[in-house]
Amino acid sequence: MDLGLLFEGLVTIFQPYNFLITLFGTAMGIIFGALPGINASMGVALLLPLTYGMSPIAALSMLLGIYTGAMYGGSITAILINTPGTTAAACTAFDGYKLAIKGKAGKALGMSNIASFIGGVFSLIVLMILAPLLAKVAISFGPPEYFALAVFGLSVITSLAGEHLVKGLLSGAFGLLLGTVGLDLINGSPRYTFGMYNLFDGISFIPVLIGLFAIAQVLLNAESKESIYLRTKKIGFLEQLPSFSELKSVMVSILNSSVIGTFIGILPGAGATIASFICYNEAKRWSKHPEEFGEGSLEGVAAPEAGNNAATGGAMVPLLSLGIPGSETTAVLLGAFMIQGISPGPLLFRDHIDVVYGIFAGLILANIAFLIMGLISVNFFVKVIQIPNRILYPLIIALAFVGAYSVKNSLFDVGLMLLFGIVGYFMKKLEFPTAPVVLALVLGPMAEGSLRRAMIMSHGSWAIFVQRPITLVLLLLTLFSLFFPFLREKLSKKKLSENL
Amino acid sequence: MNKLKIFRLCLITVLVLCVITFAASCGSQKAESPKQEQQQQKINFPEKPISLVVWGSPGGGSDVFGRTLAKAAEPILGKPIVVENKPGGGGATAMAYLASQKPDGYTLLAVTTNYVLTPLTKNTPNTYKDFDPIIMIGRDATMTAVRAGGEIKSIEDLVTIGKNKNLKWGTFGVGTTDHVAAALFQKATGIKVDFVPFEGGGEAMAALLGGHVDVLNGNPSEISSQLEAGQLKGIGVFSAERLQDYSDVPTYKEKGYDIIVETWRGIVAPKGVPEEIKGVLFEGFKKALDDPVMKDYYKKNNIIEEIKNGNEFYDFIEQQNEFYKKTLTEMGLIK
Repeated sequence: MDLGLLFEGLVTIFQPYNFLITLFGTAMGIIFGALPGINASMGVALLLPLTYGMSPIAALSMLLGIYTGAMYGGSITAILINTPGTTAAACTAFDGYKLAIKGKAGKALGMSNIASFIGGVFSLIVLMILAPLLAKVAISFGPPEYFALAVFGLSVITSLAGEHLVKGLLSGAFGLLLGTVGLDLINGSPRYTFGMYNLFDGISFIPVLIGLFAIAQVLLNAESKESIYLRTKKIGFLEQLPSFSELKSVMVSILNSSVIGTFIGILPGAGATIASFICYNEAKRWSKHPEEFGEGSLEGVAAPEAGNNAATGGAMVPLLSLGIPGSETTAVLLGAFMIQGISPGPLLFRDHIDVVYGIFAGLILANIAFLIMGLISVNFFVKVIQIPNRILYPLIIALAFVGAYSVKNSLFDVGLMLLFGIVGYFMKKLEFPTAPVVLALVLGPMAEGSLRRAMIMSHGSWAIFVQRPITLVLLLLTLFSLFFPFLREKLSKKKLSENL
Repeated sequence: MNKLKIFRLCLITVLVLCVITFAASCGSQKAESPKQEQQQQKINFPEKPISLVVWGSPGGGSDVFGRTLAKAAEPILGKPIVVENKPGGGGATAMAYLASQKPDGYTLLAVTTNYVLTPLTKNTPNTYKDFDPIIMIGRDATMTAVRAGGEIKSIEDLVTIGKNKNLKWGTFGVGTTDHVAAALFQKATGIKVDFVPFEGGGEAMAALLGGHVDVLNGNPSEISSQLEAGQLKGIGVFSAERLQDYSDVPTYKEKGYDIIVETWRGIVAPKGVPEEIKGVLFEGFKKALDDPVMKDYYKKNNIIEEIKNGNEFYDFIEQQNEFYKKTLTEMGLIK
């Protein structure tokens, strides 16, 4: 990292136009993120045409503002109305919504905001110092490693399931089944598509997410007579936010998640969604109060939010230093670079070092911007849950329709969303957790594709999974993760008996 | 009671009036001679914004191409050109959408080789026969790339090494142009290849750089930054002639393998667009290619400009369709 160049970058970014356009991007990002269906990549794509006339630094800072803003914004609706604005915020809904019901929406929002900020800044520092070095890590992951990572991610289901382990596993299996829909990855034959070309690319997860969370939640709430959107007491601005001691108690989780999120973000092919789920799981595993998870734990909000924002900085590593987009959003950002006539990759650091540091400075500004905007707007957002149900529900439904349609401009997806709304309603009635469906739908195709690629590489020999060190470590971690709850139980019983 | 009757009467009168006006307007349209109508259109097209459908997601390669082209053609055609994304199904969604639109020249689709590949391999409802090509505007070469400094340094190395051990050949999908080119080369040489299909270019590239696969084929625009940085090395091009920017990379043809596989680009419309409108669109897009931004885009992405009019483009597509039908059947991808 060159501090002189970073200073120059900061000078550039604080020029009035660049400054304002980055703030604009960040604000739009928060709004896009909060809207169900519009995730970071769509938000960036929506405003991409605006960048045609801009300088490279202004254009990319604005788009990166959207990216980071959307990562935080996704948690707002997850917390307030149990409708994650993005898949990466699906985890945040578990504890965030419980906190909101308990009247602590402000605390959850504040925590999400601060955790997002810390995660974002941590990954940014890593990006600035280690980008070229970490690029090597990114390419060290081949198909066998991705398979192991996907399996590790799937093991999270056991902790998402809560009390109903069997039901959680069934939900996960349902998600995996949904993930097999579409054209076969290796020989191209259609599976469960019933001749509908709309299903060739598989079931897109945004409509599923909106259906399972938003629609199902509205249906469920609408039938209960009592309003669960409790009126929050009028309390002061500062009291809404998490206190210093609360912040201190989750700091370890936030830092752990920042490290995990950054690492997973670096890998092209993984991403913020997987990062947030794994961070949630790890936070629960190492927490002093694992029993609070799922019941409204601030830690359960902080961990996935730190993780998904940390993934943004991580995802910039392969994009900038290899020219390889590691996620949907970075693929759109690659397009933005191309529009500017700059190709990211190894030569970027040689030919356009000013742009690189301009982007770093833009990311610093965007992170600070969403921290301040987020904290100021907490009071305003909390009012959302005071909207009467007869107004709020139709609004959510309308947003859900727009969100599902806008993913691919396709009415088919709207139908899919409604279908999963009904499925989600019955799942909730029968106490099946819905999050494992989303997780398995994201990870299933990744696990299958990489498994089959690995098998082609090894000519059908399973030894490939133990011969490669990273793969072996990840698979051992998975085993550990699966048996950890039993181990802990045994240990605590032992302690208990010793104490007696 | 009385009030209701009056209301009914009013309603019926309004309905009848509606029907009469509608019939009259239909009749008057029909009454115009076809010649007059065509002449009017010739003078008046385009009267409203044109939508250019692209089948890529926003921000992807085909989207950026579509938007750049739309921007260049706007001032020439004199109306805004709005880019609409209809991603999904390897282009099938966009093709189905286009087929449902009026053939009035106001809805167009930017196509690539997938225009024939998708209906062949995925058995989708619409084929090239359902549309009218407007213009072919260019083609992208297919280049074979390997890690720089690795064991493989030339097309000859591919053959010698491929005879002894299985080459891991990464592809951007199943039955894609890069896959087809590699399969034809395999057939011509009899080398042993394991095809490892990835989803999307990024993952395949990362796998090549990380040594998880030995070789892959890509469009120059996809691999140029690695080529320039010296991390990857181009060893062969599946074109008739060498590329301007990579004149040191030989063609397969000069090495004795007559394999030409390129990604072509063009614009098509729903079937039945009047000839005059097709003409206006052809001239408009042809001129758009002279726009400096467009020229620059072509140069940067190593796209070779090649213009064919609607009829020539149709014949070319038909011939390409036959070629891919035969090849993909041999590859076992058409059942």
